Amino acid sequence: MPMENPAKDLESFIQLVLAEPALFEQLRQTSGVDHFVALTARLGEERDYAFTEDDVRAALEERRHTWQKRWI
Amino acid sequence: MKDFAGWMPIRVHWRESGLTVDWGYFGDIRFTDPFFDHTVNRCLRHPAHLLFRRETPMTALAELAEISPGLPPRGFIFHGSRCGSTLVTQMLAALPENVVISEAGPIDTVLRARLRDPRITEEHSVLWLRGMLNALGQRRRPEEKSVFVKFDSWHACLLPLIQRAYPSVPWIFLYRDPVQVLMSQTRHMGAQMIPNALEPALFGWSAEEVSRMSLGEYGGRVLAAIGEAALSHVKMGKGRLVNYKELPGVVWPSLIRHWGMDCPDQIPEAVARVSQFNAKNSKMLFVDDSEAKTRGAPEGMRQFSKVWLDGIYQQLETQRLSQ
Repeated sequence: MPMENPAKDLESFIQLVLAEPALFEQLRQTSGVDHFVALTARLGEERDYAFTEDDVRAALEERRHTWQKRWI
Repeated sequence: MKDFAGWMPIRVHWRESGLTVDWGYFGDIRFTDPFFDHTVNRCLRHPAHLLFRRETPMTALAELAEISPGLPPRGFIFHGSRCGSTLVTQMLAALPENVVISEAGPIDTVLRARLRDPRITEEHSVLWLRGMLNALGQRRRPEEKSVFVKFDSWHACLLPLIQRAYPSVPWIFLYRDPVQVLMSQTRHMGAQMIPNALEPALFGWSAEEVSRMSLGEYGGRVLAAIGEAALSHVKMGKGRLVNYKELPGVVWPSLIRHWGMDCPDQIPEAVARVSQFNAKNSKMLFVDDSEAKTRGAPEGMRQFSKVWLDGIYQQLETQRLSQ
């Protein structure tokens, strides 16, 4: 049985969403982080991706931190 | 580059493979904040915009320009820092037909890339700058007509490159009594005042020369270099010098017409209203603190200004009054 790699699966799911404008729009219409995280995890699960809500939250935190590091 | 409608470059990264563009989804959100990054922060507040981003090679900029030409850059704003440039951009942004990009990080990275990697040619820089302004200047609302770009203060030292990319775009250089600028910098120091925050070669210096400068001397010489760069290029045409004390009245109609646009003499209410508020914090009324800054300046600061900055200020004033 292949090892699950939640981070890799989440990244694959992100690429899927970027290629499907309707899916991206569905996720954009969420109100609040909790709603967004829950929907992202559910849509991922429906498509057999192996990431959880915690993985989504961790990814958001990592991106927030990276963005806030100034370039100069 | 299909499905990139509504996506904007928000950062340029240095990767092992080369420079890449980080794109965020803006939809039709206008650039109405005082600075580009403030609008980006606003967009990234939605978790979908934070999580779902695209990263492309720099070549994507040229590909986008091919299939989706952006609005033409109408005017450029250069400045000596703390000189009212944010007021000017906020007045422009008050009109929905203007797309106003203020001190955007992706533009800065593209402009300074050659200083960091000498393999990057001037040709690359020109093409990337045009590609970047094309991407940032996409029409996302039907009423949008023109793009204005406010550069970071140190970009005045890169005027030759910018003018090579855009030889016919009119520009202004905003400056102010240097003691008032120094008072503002003392309260809240800009990054450009810190040695080695920017590449020494930007100002024509070596790393060794910078290492011999005190913090104060470095800051003074940076401000002087910016003023000198603007002065030497304004004499070549298309540029116009503007003293802080001419604001806000000089914006409408004088600067609007300098940027090649027809406009009525009467300033629109939305534009006039902006000038009543603090440009960096629209919840506060604007208070002209020029006199207070001048009166409150310590003697040491005045002497410092005499050594490093008063000379260039006088030259800028002489040139401005002869325009």
